[in-house]
Amino acid sequence: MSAADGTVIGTTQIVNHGPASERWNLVIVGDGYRNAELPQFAAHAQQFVDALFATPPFDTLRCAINVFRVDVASTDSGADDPVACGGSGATPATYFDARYCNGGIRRLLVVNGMTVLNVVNAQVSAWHQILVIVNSNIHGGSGGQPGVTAVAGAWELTAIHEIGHSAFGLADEYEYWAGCGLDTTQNSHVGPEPVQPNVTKNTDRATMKWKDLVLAATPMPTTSNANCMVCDPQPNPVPADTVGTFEGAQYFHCAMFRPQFDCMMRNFAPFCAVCRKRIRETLTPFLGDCYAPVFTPSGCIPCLVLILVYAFVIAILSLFSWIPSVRCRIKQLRYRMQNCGRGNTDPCIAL
Amino acid sequence: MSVLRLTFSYQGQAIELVSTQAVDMKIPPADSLAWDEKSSGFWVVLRDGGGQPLYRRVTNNPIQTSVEVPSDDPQRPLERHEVASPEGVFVLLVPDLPQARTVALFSSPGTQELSAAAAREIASFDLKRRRS
Repeated sequence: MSAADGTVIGTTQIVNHGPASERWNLVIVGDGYRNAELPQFAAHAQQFVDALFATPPFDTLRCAINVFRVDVASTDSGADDPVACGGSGATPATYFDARYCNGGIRRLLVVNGMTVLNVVNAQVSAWHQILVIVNSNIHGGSGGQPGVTAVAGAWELTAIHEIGHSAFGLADEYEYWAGCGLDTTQNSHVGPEPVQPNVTKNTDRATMKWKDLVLAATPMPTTSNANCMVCDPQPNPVPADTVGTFEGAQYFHCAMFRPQFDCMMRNFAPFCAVCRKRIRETLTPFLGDCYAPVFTPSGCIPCLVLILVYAFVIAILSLFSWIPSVRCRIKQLRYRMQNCGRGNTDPCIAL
Repeated sequence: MSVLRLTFSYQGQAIELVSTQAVDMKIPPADSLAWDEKSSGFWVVLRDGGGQPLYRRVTNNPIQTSVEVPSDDPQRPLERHEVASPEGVFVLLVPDLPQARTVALFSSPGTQELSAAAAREIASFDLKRRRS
């Protein structure tokens, strides 16, 4: 049950949006996949990428992101599943030693973090985020570095939530620790303002950290918990996209507020506006300055006409080529001229 | 641009800078260099020889004194648990600046009881001596 129990096969770049030195690089690693199961790992990795790019704001930031898949063949399939936690007692030999029941917690699935780091450092030196997918359909995972998930339940959303923490510094927006009705110490937050961008104890619309997203008509606080002994049971009293201050966040029933009623960082709903802003601010520097236009292919005669028109427009625009946006426009027109007959469906070709 | 990938290990309260590696890559933009000393949370600060901050980034606390785990309740899909014997590794990225001298980690305690307390400097490392 160690690195002797398998082989690093190699790395495939499954999303290529530019040089790794310029983009935000996500690396997906598998554990508990035998060599014959690596196509299944490839499918799981693609499944995650599809989920990530369908999740706002990543849908509009995809050009900033590269994704690499590191194929590692383990001797056996699955993960250790100790009997002590009600598991099967299986102890498969896997490269990263994936195992459930850490600390006696049934769902806590971890791997050997240092072995993962050593492999990823060697395979993709410019990585920003690592996700380990474990070949098991027993619900489990863990946050932290690296994020780990089994392929069970809402695993793609769990992984996106964990990336929200580790890559973007977002706080948990849920209002309990072990669970609503279980906690006895999470009634009211006592302490200073948290540094994370998506939780606050400040409900003053003039000074609070996401004040630019709060409409004047939105009540502040937007919701209050009438009984701090429990999680607030009230439904959302305002439209779902309302940004305000909703009481109950960062593990406390009261005196800590979240920006929207629901969010990926609370309950796997779409990211709230404040989280989206933080993600956008983090990833925007990884975008290129200018991208190829998306357009449909044209026939021979229309292309000849278009090329003449574009050449004329480029000549005019060249008079203003000291303006960055004009320079980009010229590059886009040249790209259209060169690819008129082929068209382009990829919005992430950097020019 | 050149970036320093700092790999740390921790066991209980002890944190060690295991390796420092220069990598050709970009890193996320800095968070504000003027922060409230009484804030809670976790952040890394790169400082020059005079102690002035050059880069600061807020991130999730990578020192896992508690962990987030999937739950069996679809309405509340995650829950937290204390870790009896915290140990592990984590990586932080900072810009590779010639004037950088030290890297400091600020953290609130990660335990359930103290997670909302103010962050304090929990470790500082001299980069000049460790740069490989």
